[in-house]
Amino acid sequence: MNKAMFSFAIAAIAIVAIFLFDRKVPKETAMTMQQKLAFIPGDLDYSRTRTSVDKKYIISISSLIDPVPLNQIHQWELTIKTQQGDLVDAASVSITGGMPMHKHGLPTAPRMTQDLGQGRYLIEGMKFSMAGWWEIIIEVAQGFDKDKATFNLILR
Amino acid sequence: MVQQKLVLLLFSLFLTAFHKHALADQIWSTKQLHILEALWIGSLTDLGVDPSNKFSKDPIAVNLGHRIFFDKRFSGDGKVSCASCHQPLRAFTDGLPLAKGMGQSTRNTPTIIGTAYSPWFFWNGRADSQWSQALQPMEAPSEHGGARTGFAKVIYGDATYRSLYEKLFGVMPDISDKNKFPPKAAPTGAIQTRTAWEAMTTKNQKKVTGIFVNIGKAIASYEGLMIPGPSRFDNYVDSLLSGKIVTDDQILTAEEIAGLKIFIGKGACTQCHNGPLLTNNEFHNIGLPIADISEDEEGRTRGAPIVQESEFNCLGPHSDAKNNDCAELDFIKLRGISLLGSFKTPTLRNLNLTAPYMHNGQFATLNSVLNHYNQAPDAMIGKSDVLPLELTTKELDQLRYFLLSLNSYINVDPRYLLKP
Repeated sequence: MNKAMFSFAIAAIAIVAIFLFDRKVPKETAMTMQQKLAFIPGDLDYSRTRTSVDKKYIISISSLIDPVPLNQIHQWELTIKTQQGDLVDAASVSITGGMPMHKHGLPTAPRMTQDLGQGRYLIEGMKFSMAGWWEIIIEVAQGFDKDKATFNLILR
Repeated sequence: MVQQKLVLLLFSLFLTAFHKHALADQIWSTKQLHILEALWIGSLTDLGVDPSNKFSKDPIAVNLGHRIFFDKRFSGDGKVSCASCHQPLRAFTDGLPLAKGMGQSTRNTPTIIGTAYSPWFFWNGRADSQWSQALQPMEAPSEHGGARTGFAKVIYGDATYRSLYEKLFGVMPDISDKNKFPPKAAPTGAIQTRTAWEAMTTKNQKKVTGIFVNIGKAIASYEGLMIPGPSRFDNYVDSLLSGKIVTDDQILTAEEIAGLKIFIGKGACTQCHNGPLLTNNEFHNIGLPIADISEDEEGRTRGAPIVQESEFNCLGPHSDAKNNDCAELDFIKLRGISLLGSFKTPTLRNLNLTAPYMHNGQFATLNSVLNHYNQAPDAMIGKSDVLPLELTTKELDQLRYFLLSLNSYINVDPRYLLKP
């Protein structure tokens, strides 16, 4: 093989390499401080049914609009059971939450507006105004049996 | 000879490779495309009738509102109209740091374009509809400086206005008696104006306030027409979504595309500037420089209780909404450190026409805005919700180039941008 053919082969390999690598989306560089506020931990539990902190209740939540909308006020529904599986009626329910990385709360003041019976409750006034990681904290009280559960949510 | 051909072939292959490099740099991940689609003007859904203003899509209301918007008779000195500060050719802003009406205002004039989609109005969100927003400047001494009896009399005394008004709202009450209806009476403003108002009977006050509210509803119907059309950014996303390969400089330049990547990536700008209007219409403290710590700088902390108590809110007697149409007001957040010093996120469309920027017009140029975000100083009041962007000068330039690709015309018959 003469010198020219050898150079040609090397260059051809280089060109093929350029084609291959160019197909990939460039990787993001190191995170900026502002970008850290948008950070979403990789190990978050996104389950919509959770046992409360002191294991008094099993709470399920679901948005009445799916997927959960950004910048739109909407409603959620809760179902509350005891650990034994009994439905919890006539409980008082409060809703808080926010963005853990931003350390601010929800943009609205949602509240339970209807006890729908059969352990179900309507939550109105839910809104998420920023993309990223949100927490929804549901606190349930029935008599002295107070407990709460935290749910994770990602808005895109 | 063979060698020459090989060199030529090699050269053309390199050219192709580097051209492809330019294309590959534009390949967006599915997640990124999803974000771009959410920012695209095509994602803006059609807006129905405003539940609190049943006239909001009525062509007669639009016609009446259009006329009032440009009419300087709706002011204390006959020299100020809505269009004095909301100038259509400046994207409905005025180019000033602080608005100037009959006096010097303490706020920068925000645009009207796209605000029909907002649940809150004014920088601190102290109104919850376009019509109730329109009422406040008309009686503010530093803006129109007028009074509602005077405005009602302009409508009553002008044949065209009266005809349009009565077609919409029914027969006007007789307000010609100068003793019963003084020319300058309102529950707000100068002491003489308030004294004149207090001397009126409650029944007559209600008649005048009813006309005043209807003026606001007509203005809002006109303002609701101002919806942005597609910008170059939207055309770029349009092409991407239809599966076309878009080369550098075809729609957006390489620098603008680099800026867009920063906007949705390193800059994390879409946390607040999201949706097709590039705003979440919520309130954030971004640590802006302020001259002094006054009530005016409390932002949403001050605005939220005002709108909650306003007789002109969605749940008030002048609203056409049913109770369940007013969820934003019903579930308003009134307390929390995050409200203090927070102001409404502005749209990023038409930034070439809307300088100076921020609620007090703090920044004359987009460069100053970006430098602020790059340094993100601590808030002088409340707590800032932003951290330094840490971008290089080149990246800041790219971000600025991208932001200016969001300039878009107003998607309305041009005659509505001129005085009728």
